[in-house]
Amino acid sequence: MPAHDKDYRENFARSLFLTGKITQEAAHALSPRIKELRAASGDPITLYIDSPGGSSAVAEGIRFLIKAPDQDGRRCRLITVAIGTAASAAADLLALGDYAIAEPQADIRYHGSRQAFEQLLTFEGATSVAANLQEANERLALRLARSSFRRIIWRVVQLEDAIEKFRDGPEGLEELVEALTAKFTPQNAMLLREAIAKQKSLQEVQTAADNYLKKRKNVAQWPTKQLEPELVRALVDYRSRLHKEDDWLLSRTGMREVASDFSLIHDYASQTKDLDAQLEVYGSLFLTQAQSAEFKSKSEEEHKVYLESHAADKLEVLWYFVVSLCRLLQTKDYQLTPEEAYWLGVVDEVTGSGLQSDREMIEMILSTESATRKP
Amino acid sequence: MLHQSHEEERAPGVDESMARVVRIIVEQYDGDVKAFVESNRYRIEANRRTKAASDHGDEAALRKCPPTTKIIGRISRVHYS
Repeated sequence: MPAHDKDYRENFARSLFLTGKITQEAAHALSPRIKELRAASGDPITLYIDSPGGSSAVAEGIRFLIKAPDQDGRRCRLITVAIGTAASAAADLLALGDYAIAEPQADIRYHGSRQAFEQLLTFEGATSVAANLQEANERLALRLARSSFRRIIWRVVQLEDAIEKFRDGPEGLEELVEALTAKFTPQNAMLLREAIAKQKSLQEVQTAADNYLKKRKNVAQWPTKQLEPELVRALVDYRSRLHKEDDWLLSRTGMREVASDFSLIHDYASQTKDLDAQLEVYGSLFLTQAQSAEFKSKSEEEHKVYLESHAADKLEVLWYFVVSLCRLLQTKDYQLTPEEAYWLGVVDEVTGSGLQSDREMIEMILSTESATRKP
Repeated sequence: MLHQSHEEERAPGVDESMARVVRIIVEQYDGDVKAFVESNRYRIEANRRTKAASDHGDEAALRKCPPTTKIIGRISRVHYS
């Protein structure tokens, strides 16, 4: 009997169905069952999804209720399964599962946050709505990137020749992404190409800001209050150098560009803690053969330092790429097949597809261990 | 508005499982994920076939047995004659 790991398996006995529009009423209907399942045990809860979307805030509320700690601090793992349509907020919810599964008939669709209005808008009102929508998109994009990142790692390490080049250095990212685009329809492949272009511009902004700040003394010790205005100066300097041939002014589009660069750097920098944790778990997959041999000869204590100097730069550019990708997913309409969702890191597994998954790899190890334990 | 303050943490046990997968791939397969997956798929399939063959052998043995009704009939005769 092959080994099964319940953390990676859907379980009908501990399941919920989210069908139709995601509304406050739908959440109210699910709440008693969620509480019942959480009270019964700390085992994973499966959420079957067939929904055109709805309120992102309500979808998040459902997710938080499933994953909230009980009085002993115990949390249930969330397994999401797309059984039909998973669009908009439902697609986000699917991807944010601790383990996300798509059935072959699933239809996964993304688009940016939308808001419906009954009353007429003033200029001030429209500006505030635009800012809110942008903020919601940003936050969702970063949250999506956090859950997609480990999945993308497992996707790119399957791209044989391209991953070898990427292991040689972060400049191999473009080739890696190009190899990944072969898994997509031409329309969705554009998403990846746009993401790599965005990743490059982000890297440029980051490098320019780093170079500017490096000239300041003890910048690492500066309090945020002092650092932020200096970062703005760095970005104004970068943008004005970039547009030195144009009639570029802060009072026209300049201020918006600087503000956008500032939020970019600020958001990305706030994610470095996540990156450290991922480096520790996955960093060794990004070492060349020679580095891998050297890594194996080192002690456990030396591993972290070794990965920081030999794999962190590769993981960092990959992380920037994934964030750029998730930002783009929140801006236009994208329709993904289950396989495309898999290659994009939206889901972990497509049932019956034969595509490698976390579950399969973990169960392989469990089955080896149980076979060696047998007399 | 989304609830920013409610960010949940990933279960440490799960990250540990994935870390174990990565360690095995790096230590035993030189980081070659495909080799790890394919060799394990092959091994699991071979085990499944061996088990199926042995199950098939049991079935053959069972087919040699007389039908249940005949066995019950024989027991009844012994008991009630």
